[in-house]
Amino acid sequence: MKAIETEARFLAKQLLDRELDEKTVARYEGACERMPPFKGPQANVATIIKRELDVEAIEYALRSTESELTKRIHILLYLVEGQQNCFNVFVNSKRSRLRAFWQLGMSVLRAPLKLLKGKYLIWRYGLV
Amino acid sequence: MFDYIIVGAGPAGVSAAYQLQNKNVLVLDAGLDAIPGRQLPPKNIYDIRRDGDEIFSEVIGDSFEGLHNVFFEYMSPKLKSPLMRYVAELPAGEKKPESDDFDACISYAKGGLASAWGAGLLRFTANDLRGFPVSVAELAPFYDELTRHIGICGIEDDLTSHFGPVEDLQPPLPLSPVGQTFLKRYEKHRTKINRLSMTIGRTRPAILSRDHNGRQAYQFLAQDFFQPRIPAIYNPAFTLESLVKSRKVEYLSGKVVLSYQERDQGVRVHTRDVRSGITETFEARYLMLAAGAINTAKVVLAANSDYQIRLPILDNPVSFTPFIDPFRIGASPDLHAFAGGELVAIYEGELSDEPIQSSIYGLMGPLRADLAFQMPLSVRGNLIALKYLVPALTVLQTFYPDRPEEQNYLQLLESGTLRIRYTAKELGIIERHLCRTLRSMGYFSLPFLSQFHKPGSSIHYAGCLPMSERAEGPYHTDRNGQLFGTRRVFVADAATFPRLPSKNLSFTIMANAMRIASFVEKINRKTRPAPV
Repeated sequence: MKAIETEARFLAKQLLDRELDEKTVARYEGACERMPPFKGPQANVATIIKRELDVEAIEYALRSTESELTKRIHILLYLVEGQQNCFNVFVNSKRSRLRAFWQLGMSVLRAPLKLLKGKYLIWRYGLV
Repeated sequence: MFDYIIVGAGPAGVSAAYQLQNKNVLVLDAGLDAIPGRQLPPKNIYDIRRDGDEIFSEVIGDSFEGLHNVFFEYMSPKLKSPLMRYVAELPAGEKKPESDDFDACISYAKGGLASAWGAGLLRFTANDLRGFPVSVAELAPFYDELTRHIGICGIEDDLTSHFGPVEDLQPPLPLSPVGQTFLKRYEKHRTKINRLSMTIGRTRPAILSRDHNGRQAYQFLAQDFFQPRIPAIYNPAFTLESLVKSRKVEYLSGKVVLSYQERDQGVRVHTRDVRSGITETFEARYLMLAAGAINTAKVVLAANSDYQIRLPILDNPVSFTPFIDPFRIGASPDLHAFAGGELVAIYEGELSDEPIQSSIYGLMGPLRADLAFQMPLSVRGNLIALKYLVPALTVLQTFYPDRPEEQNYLQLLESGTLRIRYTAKELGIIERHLCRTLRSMGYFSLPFLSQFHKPGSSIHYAGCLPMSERAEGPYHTDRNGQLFGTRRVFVADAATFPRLPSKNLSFTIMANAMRIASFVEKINRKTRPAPV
């Protein structure tokens, strides 16, 4: 499997709990090829994938307009939003206030922990 | 020789052409257009996605146009979508104005920027026209005619005194659940909100709630951000095509107007063909410039070979403030509701010497991915936030008025490019007031959440060739749009506006263009040589 295909599938699995079809993988590759070069140090995506590290935490710790990892994830989100198997990732089909507040609350509580974890992983594995 | 040449086929140019139909008129325009046959299926876009229908090309694009904001500086979600890109595309040989502090969006499209507008058409009141040498009474018949021709929907409500009479309006579109709740709460707390100097009501969009003039009523397909030429959403291109088909107007697309030259009996207009690069000249007794304020100014400066003068430029500074309704968190959104701006809030109080207008809309229109990194959480957290908060979010897009200021100008460079300088204003007072006011209605936000986009983002440009009762000097126009120092050159777009109120200017651009065209026709009738 090509590195880019591995990357796409890894990100989709980790961030969305979803499989990607061949078309989306090919589109991900095509889109990434079009990205302009980035200034400054960037995350070592190959190491993240090889060690199956928490890419959500790492991206969060690195997030900025110059983070290539953020851009790659953003590309993936655009590509999968139109996918049938990702519809419920983006759109709430059933009224669910309790679940909404619970999941939102947990996301807010998790956020600083994710940030700290991301910073730790970057340091621990020399990811930048 | 034509009697009239009109430069530009946007709201101003087409309105002038409509006024001058059957009167030997030629419209010259770059005329970039939607690709025929490329469109989304006639189905609600959420249903399309849920059913797994393939719409990648139309929504993201085979050249990944939809990913523009990932790769490059921010572009409006509508303008970046593949089928809508033509609206802001530059034809060969044309360059964007040079500026570090002004994000100019110029259209060379058939229909102009109205091909991607929110379609709000709001009459100016006497208050809005302060400083203009034109009255409401003079514009009224043209507003009326346009209302009947275009199909605008609306209703008598608290904003009627701001937006004008309701005769000939179509019934309003049904409000989305977000809009319904918003309006109900306003009505419940009306006295308090009015005491806080705010009034809220329905906007007046040029969107059909009923079939009209051969165009089908709005179908609630939520495709507004992706699909151009939706029949229900008025586009001046519809009028132009109808006029051309019935041979009431002649239209040449693919022509960028470079400059003009006034002669004894007419005006010569110099163009360049966008495909071949070949230059060509056309002649008419009168010239009406309606290419949009920035492009019109460029043509006038080029015609005068003037690379020194700095012309004023006006723009509505704009902010976006999100508000959350806690009761709608976790709601299931109505995927078949109207996805555009439904309501308007107007502030008239001590914090501003002019009314400040905010458009109110939900977030069901754009892709969620457009908003994915607007939230402050991790990726998964942001996706959860988007899923459950979007149905609860309302955004107020607030426009500020503008007046000429010395440091805000455009200038033509010898290279043929425009340079624009614009100093961003200090904003935020109104947003703080909005936060306080809407809290009483159960909508919550914080001032620091307001986003202030770069000058130019409103895409409301005006004032480069300001009008007064009599044109005051070079690069000024008189009350009838006649350019100072010329006999046959008239400016029919917002370049003539001497100031920019907060209110959307589109309808007044159109009505004023008709008014100017009507005047030009009168003088042509008096001065036209009798047929031999």
